Amino acid sequence: MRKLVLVAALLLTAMTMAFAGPSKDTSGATSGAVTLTVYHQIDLASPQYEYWPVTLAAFAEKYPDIKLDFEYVSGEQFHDKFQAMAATGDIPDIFTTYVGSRSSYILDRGLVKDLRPYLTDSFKANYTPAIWGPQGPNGEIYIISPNMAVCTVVYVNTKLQKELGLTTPKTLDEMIAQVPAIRAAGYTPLMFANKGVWQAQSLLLSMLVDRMGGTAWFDKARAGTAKFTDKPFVDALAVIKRMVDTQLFPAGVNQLEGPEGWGDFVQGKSVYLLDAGWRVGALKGAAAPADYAQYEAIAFPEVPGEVVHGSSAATLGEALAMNAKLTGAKADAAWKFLSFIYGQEGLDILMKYGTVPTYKLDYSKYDLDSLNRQYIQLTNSQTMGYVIDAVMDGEGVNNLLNPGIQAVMMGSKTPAQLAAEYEAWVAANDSNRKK
Amino acid sequence: MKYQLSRKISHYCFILPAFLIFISVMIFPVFFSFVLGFTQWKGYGEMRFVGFDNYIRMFQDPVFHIALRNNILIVLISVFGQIPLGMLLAYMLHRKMVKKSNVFEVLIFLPITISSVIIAQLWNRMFSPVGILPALVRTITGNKDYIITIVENKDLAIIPIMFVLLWQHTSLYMVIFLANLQRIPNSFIEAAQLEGAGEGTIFLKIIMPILGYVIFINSILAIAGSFKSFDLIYSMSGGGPAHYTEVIAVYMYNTTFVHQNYGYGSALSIIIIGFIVLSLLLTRGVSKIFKVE
Repeated sequence: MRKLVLVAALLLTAMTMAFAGPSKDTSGATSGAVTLTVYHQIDLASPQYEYWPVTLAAFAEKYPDIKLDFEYVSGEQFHDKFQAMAATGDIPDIFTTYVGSRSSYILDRGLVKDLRPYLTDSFKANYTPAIWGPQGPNGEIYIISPNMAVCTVVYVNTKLQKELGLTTPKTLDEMIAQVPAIRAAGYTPLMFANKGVWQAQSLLLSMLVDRMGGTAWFDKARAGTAKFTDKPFVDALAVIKRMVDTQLFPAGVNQLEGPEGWGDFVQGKSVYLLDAGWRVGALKGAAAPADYAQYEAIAFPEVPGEVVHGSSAATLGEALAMNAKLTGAKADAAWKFLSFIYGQEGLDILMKYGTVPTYKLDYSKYDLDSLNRQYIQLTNSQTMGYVIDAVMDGEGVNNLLNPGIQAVMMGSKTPAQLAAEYEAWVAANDSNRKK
Repeated sequence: MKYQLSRKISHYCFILPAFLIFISVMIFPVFFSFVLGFTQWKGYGEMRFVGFDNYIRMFQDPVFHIALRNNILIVLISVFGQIPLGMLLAYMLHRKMVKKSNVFEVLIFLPITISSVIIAQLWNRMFSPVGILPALVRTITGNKDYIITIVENKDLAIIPIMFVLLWQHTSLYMVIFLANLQRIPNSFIEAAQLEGAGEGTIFLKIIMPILGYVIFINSILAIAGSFKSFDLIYSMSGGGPAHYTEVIAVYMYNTTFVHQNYGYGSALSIIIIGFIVLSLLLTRGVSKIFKVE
């Protein structure tokens, strides 16, 4: 009997030990070296992140005593796992963070360190001022965004344009007028892919809403002094429907995955491509050098009834942030890491790999290709509207607005219907209306 | 007496670890979800009790209606598609109605061994506007703009997914039927043949009654699996376009973990459990009517 009880007690002890985790030290290391855990949302296999191993090698050379223990997860799985970690309050030392609702599960819990004590005026002066706007309710700054995510750019295959005898359209009407000639030649006029659901909202509607109403109108709609049933929003949705009806987009635009869309553009199957600014790197990696050299980047053409001309939509690009609990040597090491990868040395590497950073660099020193130069000139000359999913609550955007745009595109909902449904949801639920 | 008591205690000690695990990973999450279903909660911060609001919202929610309809269609294709087809294939292979039955057996069984995510990618490549099937039709018909349009139809968009589910899961039922068919002594069938029974009579009068309980078990598996169906649909369409291929499990996942609406998501998960339990009770009831032993 005693043996049985002993075995049972041992089993229980083993279980208790298995379920118990080790306690964490957040203040620093006992020896000279400091190890930081990093939870990073990137896909290392993507050509977009070729710069990252180079950046890490440069950091390791400068700071050999700081060791980094990475976990890379991309896509929705990143958020799934991170939400579970956040629920337990046990999160890594450094992690990818978005400014806005996408990272609310860590931001609202106070798990992210406010970087303001580290940000001296001389440090901040090196960057585009736009990145230092408040990121939290009390003016907190959580991330040093390395780049602005410009969401609407039209890429042009000038070789196909010449072949078809077309010129770059200045207005949407001119672009639509080119559709019969392009289609007759067997090409797609404006390549766009929206199976991911978010693209029509982030890459198109956000820009169109800015063109139709401007940021001042959007601020009012967020606050509730204007409504999403107002003309600017409904008209912006109607423009998308018109683009579908006039066959600007490829057939089955809502069945196409992003890479299928820009992949077809690279293969010379479409004259124009509607995509984001961050696609430049992927185009460079995928297209033949001669084809890439003739691509051009232009603003979305003028839309009938627009009140803001030539604008795009942009938000701060995501970045690594620091665990709020870090203190002592670990916090110092984390700041060294962040200020390196998002400082002159790190962003110089990023620039060499074709992404324009928020750090003020002398562009003339870089051997930039023509598309990158055009892109820089274009975005410097544009005003930027809000990206809707960066400022409005996720459930309303992802569950109602994004699928609703698809429904409008496929003709099962009218722009006015969708606008009314979204306004009703925002009025009842969105945190912007409750401030 | 003392020995009996200490024996009892020792038994409980051995049961305790398994019982604790069962409580913590099964009973507690279901109970917690049930409670959460009456709240509004973002997964952190204030948890607000809202009574039956989440359930009332569910029955007014057009997306839930689409998801429920799609789940019912998937149950139907599972029970009246996968099971009969699996049984037919198993019977054909067992009775050697095709040559090289071993090869066919492997080919039919292959889909169930492949990850649903890979299957989703494979069929997406087939159905996509730049995929193999539309390209083939374009070549044959000369229609340059041909795409599979039912994917963009609110009522029909679920059909390609149902087809893939049928293709993927039929093999599982086929293997279960085949294993049970192999247990039927050949002498039964030979005796029937000597009496002049044809294939149809053998199938209906001998095979079907013997496989009755297997059909019942397979129906339970099919119904429970259909209400839980997630991986293939999430990977293939994510519920889109415009929620047309939504099922309750995908909607529950997105609501809870992507939109952080734990209250409504938990109410949806309770409904899934409710439907599974209800379907199983119905199946049991039907099996009793037909006296399946």
